[in-house]
Amino acid sequence: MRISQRYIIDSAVDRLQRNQEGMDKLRAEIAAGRRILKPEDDPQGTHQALALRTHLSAARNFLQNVEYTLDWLQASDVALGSMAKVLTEARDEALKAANDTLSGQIRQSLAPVVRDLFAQAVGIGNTEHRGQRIFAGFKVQQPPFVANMDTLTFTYQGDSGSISHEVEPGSRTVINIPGSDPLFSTALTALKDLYDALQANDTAAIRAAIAELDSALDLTLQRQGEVGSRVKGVQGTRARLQKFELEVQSLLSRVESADVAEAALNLSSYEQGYQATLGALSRILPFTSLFDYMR
Amino acid sequence: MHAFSGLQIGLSALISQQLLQETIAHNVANVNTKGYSRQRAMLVALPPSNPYSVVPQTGLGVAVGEIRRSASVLLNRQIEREGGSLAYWTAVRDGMGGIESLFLEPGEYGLQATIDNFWTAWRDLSIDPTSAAARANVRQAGEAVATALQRTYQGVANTLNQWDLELSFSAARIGLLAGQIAALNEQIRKAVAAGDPANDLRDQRDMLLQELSRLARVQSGENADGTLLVILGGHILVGASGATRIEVQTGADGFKELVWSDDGSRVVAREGTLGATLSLRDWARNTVLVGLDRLASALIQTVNERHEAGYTPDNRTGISFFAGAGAGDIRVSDAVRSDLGAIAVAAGPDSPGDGRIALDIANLQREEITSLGDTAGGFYGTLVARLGLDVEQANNMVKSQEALVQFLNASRESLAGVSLDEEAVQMLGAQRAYQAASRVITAVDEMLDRLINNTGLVGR
Repeated sequence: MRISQRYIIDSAVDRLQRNQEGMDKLRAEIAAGRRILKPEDDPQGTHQALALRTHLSAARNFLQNVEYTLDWLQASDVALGSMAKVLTEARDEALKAANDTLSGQIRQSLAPVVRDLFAQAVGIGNTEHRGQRIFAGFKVQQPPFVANMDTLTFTYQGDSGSISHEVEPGSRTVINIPGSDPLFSTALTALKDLYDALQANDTAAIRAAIAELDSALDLTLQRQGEVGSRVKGVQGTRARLQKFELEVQSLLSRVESADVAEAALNLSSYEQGYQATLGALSRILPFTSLFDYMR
Repeated sequence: MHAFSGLQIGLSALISQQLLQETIAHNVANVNTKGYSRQRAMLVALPPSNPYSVVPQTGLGVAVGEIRRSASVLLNRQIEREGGSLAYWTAVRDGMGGIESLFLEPGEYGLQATIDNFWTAWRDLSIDPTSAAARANVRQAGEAVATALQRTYQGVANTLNQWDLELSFSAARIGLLAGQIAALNEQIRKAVAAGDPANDLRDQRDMLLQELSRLARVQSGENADGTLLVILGGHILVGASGATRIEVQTGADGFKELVWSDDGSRVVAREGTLGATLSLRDWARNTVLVGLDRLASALIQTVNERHEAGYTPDNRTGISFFAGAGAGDIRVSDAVRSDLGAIAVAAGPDSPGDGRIALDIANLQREEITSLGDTAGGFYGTLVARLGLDVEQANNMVKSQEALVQFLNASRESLAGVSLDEEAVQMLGAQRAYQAASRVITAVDEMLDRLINNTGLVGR
């Protein structure tokens, strides 16, 4: 091949340019720690990375929300525990009062205690968690139970709305027990009946109230068990989500992250090429030609 | 054959070798001139004056038959064509790359992350429907989605307008080059008629043609009189009567179009930067803007559909969350913008604790949207990957075209470029020949001297 002077210049510039280009790209990769800086770097990988980022964002969101769900369930659990305690206390009082040897006066004196317990039970029904009434169905912003403390009667102002949280994609967990659940009416009615029986000094009615309290207690413990098993389920979900998040994270880094060691190695190989080209050029570029040797 | 013909032969050698030397000087002077084709004085021996003479005769010396330009028309045409293709793909790559970078993907600030945040905000609200902060978050995330879509759309639209504007520049540039080629045609025609090959003018014209090819693909052919016919997209650009002008008009779609001034037909430009601008314009409109619009209108429609079915805390229903029709004007509706209480979260009235509508909207994240044939995120991901693929393809084309053009240029330089070593050798040859010719003249002179001054002394 015939080599002309312009050919030497053009090809030298071209070689330097190509080395510079390669170095620039690798430097950017190393600086960002990412292999894909623009979709063009790997369109397929970009597509994957975008999908994985969406998964990751959703997984983190679910993980965050799962805590809130657990909080709510635990608040219900605590409230139901208190309800069980109230009912047990009332039952103890009732057993005491059912003793035939007790005087009517003493029985009547137990009534205010039961009245207090009724008030407590209503309070439990109106439990607030983070500004929301957890036993009000969907009507979480107002106390669902309104009681008349003279007659020990109550009205339920909530609804039967069942609130469910999505704890992981496609899986919902019911997190509330609406006040319309028989548990509340049974418990409150049992307390009222006990109160009335104590006032009336009617031992037969007191025994009947004990039976009512028993069934209310059963219901409460049953609901508490349900809440407990939901907590367990959600905790399992949380563990799964954590694992999923880690997996997505590592997949994403596999798709997106630069292999810094490899990039650095490539960079140094480009740099060597660049140096070598420069070295060769510095020897050619003064353009030694036959003219230099002619006198 | 007369007594002084030896001097004549010597003189012809002096003149020819001098011309040879000057050609070499011209080559050396243009060693760095881009597009210069080396020239060589082609020497021819002059035949005897009377070929029918019965006496043996010598020739009459030497003359320069022509100054030949080492250029391959075929190679030049190839460089023009592939150079035009390289210009096309470079412009396409740069243009698409600019659009690609508007998307900020993959990253935390791209549209994808913004849309993901939007779904996340709804999911947060679904489990805490009475929280004012969660509501504010949803509105803010909605505004971020609208802003990001609008910003991307506007960015593409601005680039599109820029491209549209560039069409007029390209047209003006083509007009200028065509005018210059027409002027050179005229000069070359005159020179050729006068017997001058017009080598340097041809070099200049080839350079102009190359530059023209980088704007759009042209076909060219040289006429017998040395003028060049240039055809662009089947229409004569430079002909016998000079250059045809290209005019810029605004088409029915509001975009510029180029038409020939003589018959008003549309300029069909392929390859080159002009071809690139035309394809980029179509690409940005039909792929990018349409894609963004489909995504935006799908979001507006599906989110609104679900939001309108929901109830606000004060039992309003049928409120739109987004307003607008596409990516150009998507925004959070005035109702929601002015009042956080207008965000509908519950599936029924009087249910402040019900977050089912919010969850329904959040779940759009993984639901296929009919008009997109994919989830919103999937559709967007495909759009971005498509962009990436297009840029990657353009990039690959640029790389292979670069290699090809470089090879062709190298071939051209190899054929037509100036090599100083070669010129030095040629120069030595010319110099020595010149010296020898001078010596021949001196010898003849001495012979004549003997004849004129030293013979026939008898008569003195």
